Amino acid sequence: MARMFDAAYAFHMDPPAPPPARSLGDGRLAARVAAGAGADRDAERELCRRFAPRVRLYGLRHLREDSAAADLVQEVLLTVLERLRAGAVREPDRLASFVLGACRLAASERRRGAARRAELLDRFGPDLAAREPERPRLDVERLERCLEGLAPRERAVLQLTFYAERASGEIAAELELTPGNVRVVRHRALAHLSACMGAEEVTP
Amino acid sequence: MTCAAPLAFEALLDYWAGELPAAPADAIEEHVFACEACAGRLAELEALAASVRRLTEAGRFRAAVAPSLVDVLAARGLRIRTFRLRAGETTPCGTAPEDELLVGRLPVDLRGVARVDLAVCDERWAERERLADVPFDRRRSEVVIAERVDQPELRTAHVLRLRLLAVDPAGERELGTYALAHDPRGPPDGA
Repeated sequence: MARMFDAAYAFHMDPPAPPPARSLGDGRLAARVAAGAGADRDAERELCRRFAPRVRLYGLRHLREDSAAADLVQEVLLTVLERLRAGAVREPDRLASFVLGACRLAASERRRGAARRAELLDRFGPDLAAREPERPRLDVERLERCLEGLAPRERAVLQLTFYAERASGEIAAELELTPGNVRVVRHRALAHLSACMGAEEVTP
Repeated sequence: MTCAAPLAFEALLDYWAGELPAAPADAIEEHVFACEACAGRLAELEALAASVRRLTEAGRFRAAVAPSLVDVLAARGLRIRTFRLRAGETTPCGTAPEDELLVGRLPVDLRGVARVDLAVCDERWAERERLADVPFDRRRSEVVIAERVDQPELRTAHVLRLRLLAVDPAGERELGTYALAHDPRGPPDGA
């Protein structure tokens, strides 16, 4: 009798609450988004939170513009969600590779991407991917002081790299260094800046 | 958030600077997309690089700069007031309200010179501060200094005295002395 009661009780119990999406690995997160087919907003938001910074970095690296990188974040995340919801991602455990593949495709198709992006936004609404990805915040005044504290040649290498967007060969020719020296000076300069800003020590 | 095999900082930096061939760059991207820890380190690097870019764009740097940097700043629209100094002379200077950056070009004979130091001097030419190993342009035979015009010291009349020195293991020798007399009322006629 007691067994029957236990079985009946167990049968009528609410199912256990799913673990928070933030605690899931990529594969289980992807599986949950796929199983939810659009209903599991917690999992979808976590996927966006997790991958938006990486997609943004990819966009900055390849497109070199903040606005283009922001557009890429939206387009890629919405595409990934769409494919997961449709059950079209065959290997959820390889979610990161899938997102990277979507980045590569989207970046190469950016010229004809405007119409596609508008269509995705129309279908999904702007709430999932439109938020600014989490990104490190820097005390710019402190950074300015740290930059002033660098040796002039270190500062010049950073300015020519990150502002003038010169390759190490060009910088080397101007500053009378070898390209290898430019890379060493750049690494040292960023390590000094990072240490000055109180960031975690970088691996030399 | 840890990584069992974190990417070397040099590799992340070379990747970000676009200095890697396609295959290693692709491998770094694969790793970064699968690894929150290394993505976080790359994000910190990006934040530093972006801030250096913004500070440079705003002209927020001091003293000696790579000569070609001034060319890029001008090409991107920063309003620059340039003065060409002469060794052994005092050059009058000043800025107009629309100026954003004050640039001084110091002509110097760089033959046989491997390293140049820039000394900032007081009114008796005693050294007050030294910037070691400043960038220079051997082709144009010049060292370039730059200062944002909203620096507090540019609100008063003063004379900036500079000495360029060639430095090598045997010692140092003077390459030239330069003086820039700043007038806060504005640039001299014809400047």
